Amino acid sequence: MVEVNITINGKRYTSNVEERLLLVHFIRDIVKLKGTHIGCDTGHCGACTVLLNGRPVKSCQVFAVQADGGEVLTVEGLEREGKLSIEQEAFIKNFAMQCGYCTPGMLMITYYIIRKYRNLSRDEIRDKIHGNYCMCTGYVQIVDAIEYAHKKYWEGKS
Amino acid sequence: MRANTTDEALKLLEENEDAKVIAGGQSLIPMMKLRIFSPRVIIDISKIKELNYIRVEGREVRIGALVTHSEIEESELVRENIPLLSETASNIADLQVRSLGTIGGSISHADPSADYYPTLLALEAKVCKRSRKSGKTCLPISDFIQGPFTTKLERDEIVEEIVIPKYRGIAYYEKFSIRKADFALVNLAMILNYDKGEKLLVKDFRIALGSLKVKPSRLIGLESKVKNSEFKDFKSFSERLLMLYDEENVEFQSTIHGSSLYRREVSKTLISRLLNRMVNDNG
Repeated sequence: MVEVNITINGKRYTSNVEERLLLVHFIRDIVKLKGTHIGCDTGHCGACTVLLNGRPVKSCQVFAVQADGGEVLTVEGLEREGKLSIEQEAFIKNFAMQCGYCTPGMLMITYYIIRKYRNLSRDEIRDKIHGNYCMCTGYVQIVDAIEYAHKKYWEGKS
Repeated sequence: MRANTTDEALKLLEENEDAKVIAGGQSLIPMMKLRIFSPRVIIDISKIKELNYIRVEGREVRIGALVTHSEIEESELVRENIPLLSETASNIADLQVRSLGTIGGSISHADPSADYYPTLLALEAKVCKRSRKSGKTCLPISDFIQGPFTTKLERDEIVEEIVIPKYRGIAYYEKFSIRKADFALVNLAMILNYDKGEKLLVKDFRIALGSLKVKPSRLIGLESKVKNSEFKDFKSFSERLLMLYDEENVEFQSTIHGSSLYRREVSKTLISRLLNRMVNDNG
């Protein structure tokens, strides 16, 4: 067992964990934030995507000890004071989900790419989210939503 | 166990028989989940600051083993001095994997279809490794790679840095996989330097392939057949090259994802696609 300190959505969590514990299990089973989903558990589907120190990672492919001292943002950290984030609103407005299982991961990759890239064509969006699988929508509405969120985000900046 | 310096990491490696080094873990963790590896001890080197740098020294760019694919993709230094490497890094897996995966990890792991190998072979890069016994040793990447998942890295060594000569000429990287983030069925890098007067004089030509049966390699024989030769134009050069490539009968690996024969057919398409890009970009 080893002690790890991980800040999740601005709050610091300290826990003694097994060295082999994955970050996604730290988030779901120790901190009890169930928004981050486990989809394939093989590093393909991206449902478990969170931001670690500002970059998107698949939390089922990181040991909790590797995130020691780091900062994590999960889907629960998007909403501020009861107000939905740009990403969440964009997904609702564009019906960008059916079963919703991939949505937390999709929202986190959206959060990252709309801030990271000033310009994003639909093709570029598809390229950036190829680490996130959606088995329902066929991606069209998801790309719509990301395009919408990107526009809103940069409108707010100017 | 965590190492905070290279020395600490090497000491831990010496002391622990059944230890495996982890950097980004983007290959190791999936393999552990599949029980392909079950190391008793894992040494986390990801926090070692002295292995995380990109430096230009003279005609070379030196990249520390712990630099991630995203950092390489985004680095201005790399883009200015070796654009082929930026392009290659941006083709690795997906954004999430690139956030954590490192160049040292990819080189040490030596997956047959790893993206870096064709590019680093074409650029004639060197790999520098270190052990407590023999200190730092650097060797050409073509010697470092031995076969699928096999390198000259000893049990008590870690990769310290990759040293890459600057190259700003015409260079391309291309790969084919069924789905974007899958392992490449075929991947290759190509470099061309020419003079164009009445005719096209090929001054330098390099082609390196991954996903091969033995190990990622340059096709030195093929290269020498076109080097210092004159061609009527780009079109006749590419026709000749494709013909010569066909004669090489390159052997690819055969896996459930694709047979050797299938991969060879795909490679012809990829090569002619790259040659077309060359013609379009350079007239």
